[in-house]
Amino acid sequence: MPDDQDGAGLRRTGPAPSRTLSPELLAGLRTAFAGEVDRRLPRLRRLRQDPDQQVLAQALRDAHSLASSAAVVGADELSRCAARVETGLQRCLSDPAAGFPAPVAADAEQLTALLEGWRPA
Amino acid sequence: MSPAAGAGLTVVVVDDSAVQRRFMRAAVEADGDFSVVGEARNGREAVSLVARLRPRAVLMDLDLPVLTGIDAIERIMSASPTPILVYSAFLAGSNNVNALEALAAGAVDVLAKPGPDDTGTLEDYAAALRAKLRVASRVRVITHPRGRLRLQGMAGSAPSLGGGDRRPLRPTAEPDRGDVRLVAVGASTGGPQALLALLARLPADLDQAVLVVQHMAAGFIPGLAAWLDGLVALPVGVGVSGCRLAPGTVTLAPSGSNLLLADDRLRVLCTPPAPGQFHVPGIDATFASVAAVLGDRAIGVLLTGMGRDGAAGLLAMRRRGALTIGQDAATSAVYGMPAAAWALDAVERQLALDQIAPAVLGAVGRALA
Repeated sequence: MPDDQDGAGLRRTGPAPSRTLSPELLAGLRTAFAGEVDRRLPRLRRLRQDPDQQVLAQALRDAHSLASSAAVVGADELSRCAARVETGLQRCLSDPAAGFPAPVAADAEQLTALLEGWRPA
Repeated sequence: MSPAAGAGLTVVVVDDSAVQRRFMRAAVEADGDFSVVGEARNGREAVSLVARLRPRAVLMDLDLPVLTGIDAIERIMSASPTPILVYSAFLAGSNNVNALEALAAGAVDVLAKPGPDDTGTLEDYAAALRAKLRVASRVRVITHPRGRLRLQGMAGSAPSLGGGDRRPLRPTAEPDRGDVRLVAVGASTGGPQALLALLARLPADLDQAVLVVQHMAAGFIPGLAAWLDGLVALPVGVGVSGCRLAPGTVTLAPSGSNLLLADDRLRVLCTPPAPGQFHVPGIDATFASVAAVLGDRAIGVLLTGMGRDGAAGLLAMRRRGALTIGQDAATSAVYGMPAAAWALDAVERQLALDQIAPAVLGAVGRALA
């Protein structure tokens, strides 16, 4: 390990800090993200089957968390898609009469597809 | 148990996402002064862990299961007061009021989570995070049930210095302040709570406009405006370039630019920050423009905050005859900016937080309601 780098994987502050995450840290983050995908993907798939408010609320939490975590591991498209789903689900939950509109369902389907295709490496 | 000692700046990280916990730990511990001594996955764990470990600071996501971030902050600040820095996903199109609720519950500061469209690197983010954490760890926190943030509570929560410290600025004479048109307020760390305490005591029919510059992570200013708007009598909004400040309204400087007073019709302009300007929007820039345009027809108020932004601008206001007020050390979350202003002789009256609104109203010939 270089002497200006600590075990946490980010270089210590100093006159010439690194501008990128260390490979070790990034690998660890991606492994952790894979675990989040495995846990949240089945719940997001439930949006395909006429979701009730409880399913929408859980999907909102999942989309919210995935949007942030994906940004950290560099999965930017996935992060943006999850944020769109989160925004759409917030609208659904604030106006239950609106149901689960097609544009939100389409974004959710795209998110599911992106998650299914995501690999840590 | 006393706060953890001997391990530098100890931190507890709270997030239900393993990815975020791991990243935050790495970001914090990249500086050897910091040590993450515990991780919690939900609000309930956070309350318990903070009580047991007594860290110097808590780094907390707002969106938590079991017990929400807001509830966790309230319980921590009630049972084992600790500086809390919250981070939250900035949601476009949302007013992000939750972040302001966190500040009302006792959190020290808020920052946005890393996002896919950030212009900086994750290392930039980590450096900014550590800087905020370092400031947060120095904030003096008190047992802080939510009720204390409401108007009645704020009035009695802090020791008062009576009439405050007052000193003349040589060689100017006491100005005539019969035609004050604008109250300019600057704040940073601890500012949202202080702003609430100040603005909540101003009447809805105030004849002056109020212009506020609050240092805050980009994107959260609209949330601050919405939050304050729901709690104070004066309407609160975010300024846009070219608009005029109306009497009896509060205008917040937007993120990303300086808000300058352009003319004595109280028109404001958004201008790009100077190269190297650390805080954007900048308080100095706004105060200096107010000094140039209104002279003694303005009041400057510099509230709690780290650093020295606003001190030079407040001095410019005082030199032009404006009444200048600095929050005192006893009631400031961080006595940095007001101290810098005091050292420059920019502060005419140094007051406890609960004395500032009466002083402002007194200066414009109004009594406290």
